[in-house]
This record gives sequence, structure tokens and C-alpha cells, in this order.
Amino acid sequence: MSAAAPTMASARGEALKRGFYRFRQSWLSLVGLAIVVALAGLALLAPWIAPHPEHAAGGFAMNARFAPPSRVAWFGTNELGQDVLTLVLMGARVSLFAGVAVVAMAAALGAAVGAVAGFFGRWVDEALMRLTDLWLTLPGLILAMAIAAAMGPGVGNMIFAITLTWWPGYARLVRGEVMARKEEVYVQAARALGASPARLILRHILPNVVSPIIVKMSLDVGFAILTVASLGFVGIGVKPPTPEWGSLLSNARGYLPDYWWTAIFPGLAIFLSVFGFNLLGDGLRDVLDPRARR
Amino acid sequence: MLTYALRRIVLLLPVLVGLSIIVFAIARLLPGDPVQLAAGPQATKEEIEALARELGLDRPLIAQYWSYATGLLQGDWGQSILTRRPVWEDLRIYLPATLELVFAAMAIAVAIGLPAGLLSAAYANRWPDYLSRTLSLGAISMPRFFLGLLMQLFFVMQMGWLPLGGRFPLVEIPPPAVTGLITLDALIARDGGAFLTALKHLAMPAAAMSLSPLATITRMMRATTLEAMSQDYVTTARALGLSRGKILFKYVARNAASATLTVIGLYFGWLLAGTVLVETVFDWPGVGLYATKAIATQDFMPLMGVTLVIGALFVIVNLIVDLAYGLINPKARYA
Repeated sequence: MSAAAPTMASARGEALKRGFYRFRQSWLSLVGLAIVVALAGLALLAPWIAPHPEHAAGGFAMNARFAPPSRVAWFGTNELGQDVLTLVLMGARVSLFAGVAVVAMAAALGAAVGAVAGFFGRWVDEALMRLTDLWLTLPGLILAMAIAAAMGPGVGNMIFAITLTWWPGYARLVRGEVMARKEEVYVQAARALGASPARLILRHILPNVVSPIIVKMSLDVGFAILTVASLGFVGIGVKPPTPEWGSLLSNARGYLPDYWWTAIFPGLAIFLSVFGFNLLGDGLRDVLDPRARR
Repeated sequence: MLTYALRRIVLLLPVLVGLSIIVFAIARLLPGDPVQLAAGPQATKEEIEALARELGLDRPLIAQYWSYATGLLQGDWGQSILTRRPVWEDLRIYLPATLELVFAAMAIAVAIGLPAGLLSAAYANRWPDYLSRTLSLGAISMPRFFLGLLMQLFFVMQMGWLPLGGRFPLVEIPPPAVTGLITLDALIARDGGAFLTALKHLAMPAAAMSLSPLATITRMMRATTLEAMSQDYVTTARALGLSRGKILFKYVARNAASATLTVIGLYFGWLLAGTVLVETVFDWPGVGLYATKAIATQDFMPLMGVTLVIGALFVIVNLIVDLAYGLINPKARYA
């Protein structure tokens, strides 16, 4: 036993090293990682590095309306004289937070449903999976729009509405993995020692199915950000004056083509962050999910 | 096959019932008390109670759902505050526009995606492959509404080549409606001018819409082609001295495409739900625009109607695709 432990640890370290090597081999994944790290850094530091943080809270400067991009205001100013760079930077906090929150909550909810269904099987499985399948057949974006519209604007409501339409994918994934794992010898051994179902699921099964969940989460964050921006764009996202990329873009539509900078920069921010997370997710999948490698 | 089809169709019913229950539940979540809203701010407690009884809102939820569901079946989908018409009538007008957009987008995605995926696989891990993979990942990441705005900025405001939005000029008379799809109606009426006008309106929204299925089809086609190329029959063909190009286009492409095409059907439902954003950008008078206008004016019955109709279409289309696939591939019938 004591002799086996170090070999296992070093095998795990070896696998990690190999995974890291593979990740580094694909420069697209590295680009993705760089974009995500840069965005997260900018979002965290936004209140300190944004030129006019007061603009994100609704402050305006009517004497500086529609200034084109210049050395003073890199991204120009909008119809209220607000600095577009500031709005985009502060918007990163809203969008990244909402995107990550949606995926984390959907994964937690889906994993709970899937683990219970997969572990207990029989009628529990049947009932939960029928519900999941029903939910999966419904059009997510429209459903999220309807729920968000019914609940009213606000970041929390929006996250809740999108989460409600996203969990079924995780439930399916986790159920399959749990069903495959629960008959393994180490689970049987723990069961024979008298471990409770909760302990079996949380301590013995779930830690072993983490990597497919992480892969799906990393692939999903980009789309979650996109969905958040979409809700903002159709006008059911956040409460004004919260700077959210989708609603900034929607607001700027009325000032095209003369004041193009009010629309281009929020749009580019959405694209760049979704692109970054997708590249990163693809890279992580190649490392963590050997079946998908090709 | 017949039993399989019947079983699938019977299984559709609980899904549609589930859909209506979810929409009903969302409608109950609406902000504010609907009775209070309908009665007005001055109403007394007695008046509110009387109105609740009149509207049937004092009954148990199950009874309320029952009358809601039977109303749906009889074509009573509620009234739109904005258009002052029954939601069902509105949906019948707007749905063909959405379908036209989805069909056009799908046609573009298939026409470009299949050859792009084939080429990507043929040059696997060389520059055409990297180019097409990076482009398709970029295409998936591009918000459709932002792409739409960029197109408007360039093709309309800069170059003046295409109309900004809408489906047909308001001052002109569209061809007589047969299918409800204006491009097709123009062809049926043999009206070349109207066809061209309709096509010009359709071009940008359809292109913006096609981006995401295009990327998916390309990636899918690449993967299935690579898989087909590792099959024994390809090695045999090589051994017999057939040229690479002939093997690829004559044998591999056909096998790979049929596998990819089944995915396309499943994408259809997803596109239907996704038209909302593109329709908003291009003022395309489909159900998506109808829904967003309803949201802007807090008009909830149309939103519920759109959710229901897209949800139902989504489920039905997926069933048709499954049945068609079962017809082609007997193994899928018991999956």
C-alpha cells in the first residue's frame, strides 16, 4: 500500500505533465488562454484602470457627446458623453461574471439531478430523465427570454433564467458517467464498508467524473456569455445603467453609421471573449477527454 | 417501422403537454397580480374579487391550466395588446417569414459547409485545414446580432448595395401569397423583379443566420470525412490505383455527407429559436421580431404564443428527422 502510493502520485503527475505538454503544443489553445486571462485581469482591475469609472454608474458628460476615438478617449464617447472604454471594461465584469455563474449553477444543478438519477436508477432515474429530456427538447433561448421577461430585469434574474434552460445537458452527462462508475470495485468496497449513498456519490463517484464536467463547462462559458449578451440585446437583460455588452450594442444601433464606435467596441468585446473561451475549451477538451482527440 | 413511427408520435403528446405546462407556469410568474392590473389602480377589494371570479383566476391552478390548455386547442391563444389581434392570427402571418429565413440560412450553410469540411479533411493538419478550423471557431463565437450590424454598416450604409431591413418594400405589392415565402411566391408568379427584390432583402439576414450552422456543418463534415478515409475500402481503392481525388469525391464524400446531413435536420429546430436576434437586427417580420416587440411593451400573451409555437415546431421537426433517419438506417429505430 505504502509502496503503491508514490507510484500513483507520480503517474498522476506524469499524466498532468503530458496533458500540459499537449495543451502547449496547440498554439490556438494558448491564444485562448491568453485572451481569457487578459479579459479576467481587465475585468478584475476595471474599477481602477477605467478612465471614468463614474460613467458606469450612470454619470454623464453632455459636453463631450459623440467624441470619436482619440488619444484621450480610446474608444470614443457615446450619446451621453460617457467614455465607451470605461463602459466596455466595466461591462466585462457583468458579462464574465454572469457567464461563469450560469455555467457553474447549471453544472451544479445538472450534476445533482444526474448523480441522483444515475446512482439510484429505476423509477428515480426514469422520472428525472423524462423531465430532463422534456426540458432538452424545448428551445433554450426562447425559454430563457420568456422566463427573464416574466421575472423582470436584473443580473440575478437573467442568470437564473438562463440556468433554468442549461442544466439538462449536465444532468445527462453526469448520469451516464455515474452509472458507469457505480459498479466499479472501489465503489463496491466503500459500500461494503457501510458508506452512505451521499458519501458514495460525493466522495467516491463525483471526483472521478470531474474531468468531463470541466470540459463541458469550459466549452459552455463562451456560449453562456453569448446568451447573456443576446438577452441584453433584445432588452431583457440588466437594469440600466448597468453596462452590459449586449445592451450597450443594442443602444448604439440607433447611432449608426455616424457614431460607429459606440457599437463596434462592445460587439468586439463580446466576440473576443466568446472566441477566447471557445479556443480554451477546445484545448482543454483535447487534454482532458482522450476520446474527442483527433 | 410503422409501430416505431406510431410509438414516437404517441410519445410526442406528453412532450407537448409538458411544453404547455411550462409556458403556463411562466405565465403565472408574471410580475404583478394580473387581476390587479386588469382592474386598475382604483379598484376596491370587492371589485378585484369579482373580476378574479369572472376571469376564473380564483379557481385551483389545475382547473386554470385545464381551461388554458383547451383554449389553446381551440385556437384561443390570447390577445396581443400591441396589435390588438388574437395571437393565433398574428402567428399565422409571421411564421412563414421566419420559415423562409431558416430555409435560406440552411441552404447557405449546406452549400458552403459540405465542401469546406471536405477540403479541410483532405488537407488535414495543413494550412487550409487550420484556416477553415479557425474560421469556423470564429464563426461560432461571432454574435449573430453583431455580425448583422457589421453587415448593415458595410453593405448598406457604406456601399448602398442592399436594403437595411424588412422583407419587401412597403410601397410595392408583393407577389400573391401561395406558400407565404415571398421568394418562392415570386417564382410561382414568374415575377423576376419581385424575386430579385425579395432576394436582396433576404440576403443579409440569411447570411448572418447561416454562420453558426455553417461552422457546425464544416466541423462535422471534416470529422466524418476523416473517419471515412480511414476505412478499409479507401485502402483497397488506393491499392487498386485510384487517384486520391477520385476516392475523395466519388466515394468518401458521399458517405461522409449522408452522416452529416442527419445533423442538419436537428439543427433546424435550433435555428428556429435563434431567429429572434437576427429578426430584431434586420426588422424581419417573423415570429422572433413579434416576440421582442412584445417584450419591449410588456405584452406577454404574444411571447407565450411564440414560445409555444417554436417549442412545438422544434419537437415536431426533430421527430420528423428521427423518423426519416429511421427509414434510412434501420438500426436507429430501436435506439
